[in-house]
Amino acid sequence: MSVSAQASSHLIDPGAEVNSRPRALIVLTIVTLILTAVGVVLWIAYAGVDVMQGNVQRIFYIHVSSFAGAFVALGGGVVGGFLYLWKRAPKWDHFALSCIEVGFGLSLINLFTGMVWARPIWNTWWTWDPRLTSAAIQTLTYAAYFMLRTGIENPDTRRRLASVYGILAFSTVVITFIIIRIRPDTIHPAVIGASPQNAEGGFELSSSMLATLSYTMIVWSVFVPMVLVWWRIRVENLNERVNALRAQILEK
Amino acid sequence: MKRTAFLVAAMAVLRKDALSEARSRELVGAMGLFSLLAVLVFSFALELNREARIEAVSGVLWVTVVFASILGLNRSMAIERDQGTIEALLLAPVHRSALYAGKLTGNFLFTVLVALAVALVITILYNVPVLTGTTLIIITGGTLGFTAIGTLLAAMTVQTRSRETLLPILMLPIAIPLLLASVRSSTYVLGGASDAQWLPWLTILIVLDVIYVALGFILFEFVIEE
Amino acid sequence: MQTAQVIPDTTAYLLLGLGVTALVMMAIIGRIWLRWMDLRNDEAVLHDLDV
Repeated sequence: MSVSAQASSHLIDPGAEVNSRPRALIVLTIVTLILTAVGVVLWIAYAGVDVMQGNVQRIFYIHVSSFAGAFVALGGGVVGGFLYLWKRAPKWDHFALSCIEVGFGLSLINLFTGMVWARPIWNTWWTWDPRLTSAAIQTLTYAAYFMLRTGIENPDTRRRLASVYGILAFSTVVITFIIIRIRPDTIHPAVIGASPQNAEGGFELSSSMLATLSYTMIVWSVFVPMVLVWWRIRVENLNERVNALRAQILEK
Repeated sequence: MKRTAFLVAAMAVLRKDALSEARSRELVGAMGLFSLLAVLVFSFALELNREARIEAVSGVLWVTVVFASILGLNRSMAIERDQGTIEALLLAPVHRSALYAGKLTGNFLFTVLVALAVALVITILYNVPVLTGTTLIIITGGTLGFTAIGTLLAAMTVQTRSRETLLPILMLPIAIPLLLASVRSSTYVLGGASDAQWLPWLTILIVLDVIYVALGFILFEFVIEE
Repeated sequence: MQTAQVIPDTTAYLLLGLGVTALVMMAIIGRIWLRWMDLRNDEAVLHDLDV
């Protein structure tokens, strides 16, 4: 039993109900939906078309932005892990788990949109290029994080070990970000600064493209992760309440 | 006082492991045999011959060392769990990381022995001079990094339901930068490249070692708690 | 001097990419929503048992 005799008395009170009408969150969600829709319009109608690559180039707005979003979300996982190890309040682990789930999803989007772009431009769905390999490793690392969580029954142990691994796993995100500077033999084009020598499929950014990219990045690295993580945390809170209720009933 | 107690505890763990290993040769034996078999399997699978490419040789060396170290790490931590030494150490008024220091040193020594044996075998089989001064430094450096991160993660996985099977899954992604630096520097040195080529990679390797060992020391006490 | 470049028609890939993105996003949102509904049901059942 992970719960001491003293703490079990707290189980009698399953805590506050999870709010059914979270006003702020609903407003934020609607705002984010609108911003995302505007973004799609920008991608399709406003940003210019690339003459070399055609319409597939437009995917790069979501491809780059989803990585930025993943970076932010997975970074949140580090913060949550660190805070849990420090404060030991379960809410920090809920925060970390939610962040990492969202970040994992955004990493997947990053990988898939990259593959869809690569097919017409590089004539292959995949290649073992340093940046692609790092991105794949990043995604697999967080898959391992979920496997770790599933493999531990004791909730305190699970939160503790997951926090440590969540912190370690972020190194793969950092590597993906900086590898383009360390391994100049990558064929992946760079957006900020000069592309590596071997880069294939780089393109000049017109001002409308730059504006669209900046806009999309802000929406997908601030608004979208925040909204998703917030909703996800609510599910964890409700889960806690249900478990507490269940325990309370079993005690009777 | 605390520092002496730390060293005493770490040395005690190391002595225990070294003595039991000297007697049973369980870890080094398993790791050694696995490594030999792995090199053989690679030879067949990659169809390596006497004119094997330097990159292939470097890769074979490091993949073998990594997987052999995983074998050793799993067994080494399992021994701690079975003998209950973890609980015993938690009761002692000494910093948790003393256990990490002791385990790390033991794991490192065993693995580096095996790595040197693999290097010797590769030298003989592929006619590649792996046992030069610089390569030995690289082998030592890489092994230190792998065992540093591996000891931390093995302490974690030994507490999970799936135990041994989870260690490679957790460890390999985190160890990728280390693997990259090790293989790159080995390839350059074995290929006779200039200092300017392999020195940066060796530097990266050493920096990564420092980071991993430091992380291990810091995070170990969060992993071992009861 | 410069002949007009033919812009390659890669629109299909763009749509594929947007589709995949939408799919993953719906999966994320869907998981959250389904889990929420399940837990709400559980909560209601437990409440009835309690009362």
